[in-house]
Amino acid sequence: MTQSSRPETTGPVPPPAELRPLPPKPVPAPVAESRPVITVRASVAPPPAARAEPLGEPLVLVGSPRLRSVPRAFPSAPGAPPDTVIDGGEIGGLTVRAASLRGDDHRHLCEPRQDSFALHRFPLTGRTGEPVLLACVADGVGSQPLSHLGSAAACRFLGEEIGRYADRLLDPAGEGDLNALCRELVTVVAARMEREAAVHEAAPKALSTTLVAGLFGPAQANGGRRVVLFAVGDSPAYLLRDGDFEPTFRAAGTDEMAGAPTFALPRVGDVEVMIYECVRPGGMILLCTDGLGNPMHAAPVRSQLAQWWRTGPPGLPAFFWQLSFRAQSFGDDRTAVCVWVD
Amino acid sequence: MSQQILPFYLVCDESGSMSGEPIEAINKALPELHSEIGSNPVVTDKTRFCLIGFSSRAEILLPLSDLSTVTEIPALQASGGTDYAKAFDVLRETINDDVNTLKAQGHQVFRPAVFFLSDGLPANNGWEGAYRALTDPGWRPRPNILAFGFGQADQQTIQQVATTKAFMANGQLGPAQALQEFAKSLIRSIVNSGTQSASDQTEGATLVMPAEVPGFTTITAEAL
Repeated sequence: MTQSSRPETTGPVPPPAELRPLPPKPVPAPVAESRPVITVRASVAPPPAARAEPLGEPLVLVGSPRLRSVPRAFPSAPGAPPDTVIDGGEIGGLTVRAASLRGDDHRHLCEPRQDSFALHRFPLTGRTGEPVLLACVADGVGSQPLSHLGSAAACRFLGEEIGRYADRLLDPAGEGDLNALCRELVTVVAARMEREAAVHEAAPKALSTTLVAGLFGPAQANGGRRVVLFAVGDSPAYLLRDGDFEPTFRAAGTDEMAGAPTFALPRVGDVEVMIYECVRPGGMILLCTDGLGNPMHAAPVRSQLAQWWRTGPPGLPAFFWQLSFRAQSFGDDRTAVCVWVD
Repeated sequence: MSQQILPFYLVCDESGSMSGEPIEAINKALPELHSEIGSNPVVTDKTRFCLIGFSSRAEILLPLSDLSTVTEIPALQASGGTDYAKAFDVLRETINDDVNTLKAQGHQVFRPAVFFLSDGLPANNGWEGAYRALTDPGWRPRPNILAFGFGQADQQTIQQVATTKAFMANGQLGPAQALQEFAKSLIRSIVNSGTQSASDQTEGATLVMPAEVPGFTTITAEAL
């Protein structure tokens, strides 16, 4: 058979029948030229010029990890959350960046991420209805089978219960009751977790999780704002000020062995409470799990994060990339909620 | 430089009574152990491994090492008596030096884990004193100890040595098979501790204990 004996193809190949294009829409009639015009102008300013440089692979900040940082098989555990969750937003002069990343150990072993976070916004009922923010971070205890559900439940229940407490927690006159109030609130959350365990036909301990939360009050006349932090267990919080992170709760002694016992809900244990009377504009509060807090003991991690975050909130892709830094031996889930005061 | 490190000590009885099949079984299991640990990135990234042999004396056969960089391990050789006091003294001193070195390098150190393996009755030379020093609650790096008893080992003694869990060979498997099961259990335990040490903190344990080991009867550790 020769070339010329093939059927001649002229013009574009007709699309397969199932891909037939729709008939074009009718074009509207042109506006009459005789009409007067009204001048309009959009007021959207172009965004500040962003650096278009590609982010590339996450930075290696500690050692030479031999563990790869990739998700493998999807975890089979019931209710396993997505590998990573990213969120962010603005509320009443606060800018929030939040992410929870499955640790490389869990990724390697196809186990679920056990960390959770939640961002609850609601108006203060007793005042002028200004919006306030409750940020929660929880670290499900590794050895417990349903701790990924436990950490999510703790964050959810705290958000559902905070409404009855927020006014009193943020009231400077009620400061004397703050410890008792926080303890009462956490005890209510713990009781709901025990009921949740029963729903799963599991022992309460199966849902074991730490919990750290920050209630960010409305801006005050002097520009600062009141922030109430409380925690059960070893999930830390920091204030980023003058280019360095200050731990807000009592820091573990450096002489101790790592991996010391922690309190975990639904057992209430100690409830640590800290209050920041007046966080100034430019300040940032970080709530996180020890999957971030532990590598932050390494100076390169601490200084790199401070350098990234001291100038204000990054975009969401950059925030996720920054939090994905590699650090040998730190294979735990990593969760951070950063709240900048504008 | 600041990493999280779990120091892991395998302390093996190489007294004369271990000669023949038992010692050969351990020597055969060591490369398997090395390969399993050294090629598992979750484990190698945070575990350091040390091998100590003891008989009438105790010797560090492999100093605390990153197994993925080790190419040779000295074999165990059976001879002499069974001196627990020497074993515990060397172990305590080694752990103390290792933990201090790691901390000086800026590392965060998990509570060390010890697998103690013995087939004999220890010489009655007051080893309990050396043991108390090793497990002294006031000594910060005191290790978690799992003890495995073989052959003529006295169950009560093995129970006394363990701080967390003890196992006795139950005679259903020959010594070689029992030791291979021991090695498998050791691997699983290291994998799990390497994996869960960072987050498994409610019990304060940095080692995930095997609940049972084929060929062994699990006995509870004696309360201190």
